[in-house]
Amino acid sequence: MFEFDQIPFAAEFAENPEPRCPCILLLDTSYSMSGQPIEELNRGLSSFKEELMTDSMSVKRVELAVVSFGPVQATSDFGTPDDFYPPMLTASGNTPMGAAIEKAVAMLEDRKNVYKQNGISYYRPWIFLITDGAPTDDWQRAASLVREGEAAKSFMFFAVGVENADMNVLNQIATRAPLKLKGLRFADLFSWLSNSLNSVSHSTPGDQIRLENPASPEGWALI
Amino acid sequence: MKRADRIVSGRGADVIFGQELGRGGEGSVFEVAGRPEVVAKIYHKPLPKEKQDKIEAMVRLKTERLLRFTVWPVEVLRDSGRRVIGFLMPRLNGKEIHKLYGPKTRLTEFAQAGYPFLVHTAANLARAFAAVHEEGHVVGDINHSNFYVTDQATILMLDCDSFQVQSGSKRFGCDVGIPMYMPPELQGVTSFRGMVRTRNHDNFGLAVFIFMLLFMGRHPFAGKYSGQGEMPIERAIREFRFAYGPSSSGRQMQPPPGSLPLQLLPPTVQALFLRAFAQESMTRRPNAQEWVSALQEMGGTLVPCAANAWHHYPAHAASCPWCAMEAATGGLLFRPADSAYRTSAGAAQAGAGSSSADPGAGFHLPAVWGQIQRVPKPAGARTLPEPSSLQPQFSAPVTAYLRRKRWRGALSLLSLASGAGVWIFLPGFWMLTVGVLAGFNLLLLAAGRGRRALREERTETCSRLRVRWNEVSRLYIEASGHGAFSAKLQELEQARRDYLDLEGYKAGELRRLEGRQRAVQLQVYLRRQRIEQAQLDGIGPGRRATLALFGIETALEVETHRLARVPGFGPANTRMLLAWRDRIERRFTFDPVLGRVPAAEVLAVERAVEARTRELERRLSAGPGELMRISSGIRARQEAALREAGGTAQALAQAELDLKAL
Repeated sequence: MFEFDQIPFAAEFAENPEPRCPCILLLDTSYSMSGQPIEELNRGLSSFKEELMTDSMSVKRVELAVVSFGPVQATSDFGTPDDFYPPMLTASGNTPMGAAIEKAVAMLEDRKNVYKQNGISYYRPWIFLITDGAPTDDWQRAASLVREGEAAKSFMFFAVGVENADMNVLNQIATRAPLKLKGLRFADLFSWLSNSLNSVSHSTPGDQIRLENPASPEGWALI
Repeated sequence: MKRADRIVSGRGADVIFGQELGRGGEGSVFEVAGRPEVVAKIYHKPLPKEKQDKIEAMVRLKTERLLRFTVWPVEVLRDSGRRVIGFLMPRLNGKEIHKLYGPKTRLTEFAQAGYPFLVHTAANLARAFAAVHEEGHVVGDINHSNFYVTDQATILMLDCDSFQVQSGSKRFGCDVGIPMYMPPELQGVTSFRGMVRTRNHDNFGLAVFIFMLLFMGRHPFAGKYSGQGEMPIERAIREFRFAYGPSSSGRQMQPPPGSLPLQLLPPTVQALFLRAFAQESMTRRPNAQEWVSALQEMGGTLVPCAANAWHHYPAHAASCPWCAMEAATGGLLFRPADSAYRTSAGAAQAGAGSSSADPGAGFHLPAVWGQIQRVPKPAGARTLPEPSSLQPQFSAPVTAYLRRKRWRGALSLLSLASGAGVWIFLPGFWMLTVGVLAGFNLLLLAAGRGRRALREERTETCSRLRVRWNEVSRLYIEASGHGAFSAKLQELEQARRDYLDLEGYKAGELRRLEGRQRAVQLQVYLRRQRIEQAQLDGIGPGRRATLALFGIETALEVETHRLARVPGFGPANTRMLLAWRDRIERRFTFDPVLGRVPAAEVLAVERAVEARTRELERRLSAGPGELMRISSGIRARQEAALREAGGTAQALAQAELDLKAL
């Protein structure tokens, strides 16, 4: 007769009309991630949810979606942290990073239209790419989408390289300097991400947020 | 932390800290040993002289009235060097105001809050602003975390040390502010340092928060923008694009779908909102006192909704707007009505109790069920009369034939008699006899041919009618069948049972969620059991490494189909591993505290129950009409079939009679 997951958008915005900060996690699940990296990533994802849940404003304002590649698929569609169930990612396949970025940009456009239709204000969306390899598909179009999006301030694109990631390609895709994860410190990375989203969700849409530097000596990243 | 230092309160007593209660950007808040009524705020960094003076001034300026509405500093805290490092303030209670005005959190955090509670809170918020303003201060930093609401709908303001404080002729400024709640004239300001904040600025933020309380958490400047580009809230404020006002469409703004129309509020409150947000009146926005009286009046004129005890609404709305908004969006704005209230006479009483409430809005099961039961069941099929039992008359051709036959009989008798007469009396005229007899024979032949044709035609008619009769009888039985009626009735009975068992349904869904919690916990537990650390005789490090290569590292992955893929892993080893997993699984005990179903999921169940309730109510309410349509449809078809059957029976009986006669 009806399903839990068929509540139309109107319901979620009627119950929670707070401005939204959409964040897409673009996660590399290619074969090279198998073993400890994918395990740490999965663990990081579930602690990420927990950390966001501890902030009463982030619970209402942050919306998470997960796109994993390869193959490219939307593992979780946009939802507030309480509706977000960290997926159990498994590693297999190659690294279609270009297609994944294109999919993320398209999903963001769709989501923004849903916000506009429902009279919901929103913050500049985040795309957060985590990869340990190099694209196995054509990424030139994706790179130009990222450049356009950043220039038009329609989203912020962050790239994080794990272990043997091709930082050179990441540098060509992202306009912000890509970050290199220290070891497998996914937990610290997600902790930083949730803190950053918390500060965003306490600000006003359109504000400039000063993020904590992840590449500080005690941070999780190297430039 | 300076916990090790000696910290002295304004009274000169040593202060011993207890537990840290909260940590913010500026400082931390601690319990104070032996003084449960106060807490201590300690700044992270040494304070500039100005800020130290501000805190000292605030402690001097504390009043009874301020302390009713704020956690105002009551004692200065100093370190050994006499520097102000923090202060004592009353202990805070309640919850952040956004948890009340946002429906999603309201349902879990303020479960008992109906609309009157929201109006009441709005009035109390205005009272708190009035208190601050009348003491000469300005709140300044208005935001969603700085107002706490108790379960009595009273307000406590926090972060008072950021207020703009007036101490005689000395003014201590407020350096912060969140643009979303700032008036148009302060939009785009990059620094509030040194800026004089006014009550009129505050009055804008106050109106925004009252709006959010009355409009289910909607921001007055968040709407559907029909122009090009983006319309963030700050820009909408700067450009006076209030989404709900009468001139909003001229500003390319529309209220969001499924939101409360401004017109449903009492005219005085509407007028205050328009004045607070319009450009023309930006220098004279409604002050806190005006809001207090308008909201108090509004609170007194709310009427209850017939369908849900948590729904109250302004008296001049034609019907309950919350019911309409919940139905339109599928979201829950308040707690759903208790099923007891729904199924008992509760709804009817509430409907009757409030003369101005629309009694038609409520669903009342006993009344609807009564209507359903009063729909007449269509009559059963009667036994159709057998054609043979009818008393038919011959058909016209047969009647004519029979008449002709009688004539023929008389004629043949006459010819026979005259033949015999000629034979006896005029033996010489035997030729005549032969002629007469031949004529007679010819006549008979002709007559016989007519009968055969007629008989054939009637036999054919008769069998056609027999087929038709069987067909018509079947149609009649079919038309009289209650199939559709009984099916509908059964469906409605099921809906009624479901409706009466909504609590059971809810309990079942919750049990399902609990089951899922258990499964998740079990998974986590199994994942913690690593094969490399397990006591497994006969499975050496080499085999374990092979298993790991195939992704089998913990008890969770020990599954027959996975093990089957590992080359060289025989049935004995497989059995041993599966037995190991079994042993571990048996040791697992569910932790009910850790495994409590999250409030959001419980709420999702409530929402689903509410949706199911509405769906069942819709189906049950439509029930009497649908049953009636089915019933009268059956009657109409039945009558048509009966008419047709009657005609066919008559024709068949006649054809059979005809045949007998031929």
